[in-house]
Amino acid sequence: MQKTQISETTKEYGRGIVGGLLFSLPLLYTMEVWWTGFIASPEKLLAFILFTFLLLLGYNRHAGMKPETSFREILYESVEDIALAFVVAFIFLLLISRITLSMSFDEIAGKVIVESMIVAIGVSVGSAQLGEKQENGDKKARDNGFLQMGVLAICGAALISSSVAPTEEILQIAIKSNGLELLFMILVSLFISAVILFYSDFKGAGTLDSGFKNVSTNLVIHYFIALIVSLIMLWFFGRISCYGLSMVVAQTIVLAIPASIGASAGRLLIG
Amino acid sequence: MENNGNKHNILEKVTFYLGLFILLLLVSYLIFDFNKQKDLPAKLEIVTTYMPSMPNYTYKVETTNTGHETASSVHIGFDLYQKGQMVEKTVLSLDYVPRESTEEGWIIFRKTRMPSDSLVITSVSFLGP
Repeated sequence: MQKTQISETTKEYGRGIVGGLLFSLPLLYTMEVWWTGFIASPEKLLAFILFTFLLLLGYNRHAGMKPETSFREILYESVEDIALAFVVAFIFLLLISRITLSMSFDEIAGKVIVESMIVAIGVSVGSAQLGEKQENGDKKARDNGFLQMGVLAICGAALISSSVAPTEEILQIAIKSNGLELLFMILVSLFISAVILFYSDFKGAGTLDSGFKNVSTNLVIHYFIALIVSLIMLWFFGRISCYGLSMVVAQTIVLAIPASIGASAGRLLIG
Repeated sequence: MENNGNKHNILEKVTFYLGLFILLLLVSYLIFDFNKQKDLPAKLEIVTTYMPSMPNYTYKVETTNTGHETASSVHIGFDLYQKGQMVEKTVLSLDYVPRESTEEGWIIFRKTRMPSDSLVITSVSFLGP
């Protein structure tokens, strides 16, 4: 049991920071996300921290670390990811003048929490996936079980959909879309997922020969995950409470397009 | 970051404890804040200051929200009076004034400043978060 060299750690942190920025840059530059930082209630921010931390634990358990890694180590890694994310989000928001030291603690904390949660998932994915192949080689030697698939699909959906979820455009599209258009959106989401998961020979993807039952089950599960993640994102960004059921459903379907791409392609890429 | 033994180098330890400290700090603050909240709406206090150092006839407007909710779409109406007559009006609009925060803005009038001028706030409107 040897200590990791500090140089190794700094390289890994470097990959993590790059990964965090890669996945969260759209969010760092989106004003609706800054606003959410001071509009969101404390309980909502707490729920977001908890949700992200569970995702980090899940990701590190199923893709970020070796299968035999203990829960204690996974916890340690997840806290490290969060620490890097806080620092990256704070410095970046300071750099683009979205936080200043004259602002109230409340405003600074809210903005940093909202931004750093997605950065944290990016950090985890970046440090695990952007390294040299041999480092991650044995991480792939794990069973491809339902839980792993689900966790990675949730992470992928959250990563990809979070960049558009807070924007006004989702609401605008939902308002303008009629029932038929929404139905087409569902079909297109399922079709894209099918192409990703079973046709295009993505890394780790299956084939259409695996049988109708397997294909349809996978598609339904991925789309269901996309819908749930979309709903959570909309709730967090304040797009649920003021709107009627039909508008909530419409927004969820609109957001589920990128979320389903994230759940299927994202899962294969970050897993 | 991954280390299968129980030994972590100093950088990993510093990062871990920093992360733990920030997490606990923020979670404690949010729990405290949650208990403190009493569903009070935004409460805006507006202070205007004449700015002789700035060109034209300029006032600095500081809007402080001392309430417990963010005020959005804030519109503040101003009337400028000279010799008892309203001579000019303007509106300052702010997207948001977060709670316990101050937003600054500036209003500029076309008139020339006179010693007996008075600036009156005629309306303040805002939406909930």
